[in-house]
Amino acid sequence: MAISLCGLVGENTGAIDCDVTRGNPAELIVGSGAFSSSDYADSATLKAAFLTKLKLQTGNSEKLFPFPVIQGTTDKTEAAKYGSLGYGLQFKLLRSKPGYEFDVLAGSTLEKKLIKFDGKQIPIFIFDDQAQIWGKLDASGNFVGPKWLVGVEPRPFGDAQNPKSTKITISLIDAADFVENAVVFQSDFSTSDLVGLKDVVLSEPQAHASNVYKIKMTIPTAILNGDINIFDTYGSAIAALTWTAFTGATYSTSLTITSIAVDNTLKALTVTFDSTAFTALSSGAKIKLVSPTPAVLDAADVVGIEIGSIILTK
Amino acid sequence: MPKFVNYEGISFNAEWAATKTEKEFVEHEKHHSLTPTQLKEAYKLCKEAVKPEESPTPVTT
Repeated sequence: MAISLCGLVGENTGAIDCDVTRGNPAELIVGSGAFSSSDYADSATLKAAFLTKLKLQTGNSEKLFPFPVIQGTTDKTEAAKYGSLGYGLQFKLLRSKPGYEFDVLAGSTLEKKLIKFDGKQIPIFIFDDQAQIWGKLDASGNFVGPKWLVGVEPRPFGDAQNPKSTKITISLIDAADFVENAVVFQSDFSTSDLVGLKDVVLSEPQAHASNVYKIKMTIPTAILNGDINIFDTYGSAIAALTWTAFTGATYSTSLTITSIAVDNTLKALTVTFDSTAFTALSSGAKIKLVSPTPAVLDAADVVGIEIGSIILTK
Repeated sequence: MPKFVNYEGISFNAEWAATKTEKEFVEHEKHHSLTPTQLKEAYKLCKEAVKPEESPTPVTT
């Protein structure tokens, strides 16, 4: 009988019929969002929790950012390194390091958003074409994305010879997250469920009249004078939601908004502050106007946008 | 969060309106494209929106 430690090396190696395997990547879901064991207790709960994190406000550490749908994948995995001794016995010196290059379709406006992730180490869930979301369990048992180093390269000008695309590259920080730590959520998502928000910025199209301000809502684009005013699409619905306003050095003092209306001529909102409180402010005082959150907007069927705040001046 | 009441497409802060007289409300919101009569109707709606609910009269036998 052999004296051996081999029985302690690993675990049983019986294969499970119909075991999960990785499909073709369909979408990257980027961000530090974590799902606790109660979140993933069942599929429906995890699905709802995923969608909630897509609609968090920018700045929330749990927010997830879906990238554009993937149109092509190139395996850029760094191969394992091998060496051999004089008589030919081959040793594996270093395990492979997973890496991938993805082709995505992104206009110049979206590229300005994607490029902010360039060079960042960031957790990424990978959604594949079998509706599986690949992640890992962290030390606390939370379902999270493994950390990858991200690269973003813009679409170049065409050369009339080869199709061009925006390139997203990812390289895995810890190779163990690809095997030992890997877990998968078998969802019923489609890529149309995993869509990012568009940023809406607020501006004043004309000078305010005392306590009455005009607020325009536009989506910036890469086109000169081409910002998209969302008033016609969502103006009335957004005017019916609750906005808040604050003053003070840390914007912690509430300033009452007495009414919000649509201005069909200016294609903007008319926001009125309580005149007594407004008059009491010093000249040049700053007012922070805060919009409804993406979750509140979404609940009111104002979907796919996040409205920023604006600092107004008395 | 304050309670808002929608009248003719304008959202009015009902809680703030309830702290004002009708005259003060109409004067404050006169810049909207509403007539004084409409503003008074909006004021009335705001007051009703923040009126405390009446407790049901207990039935005695």
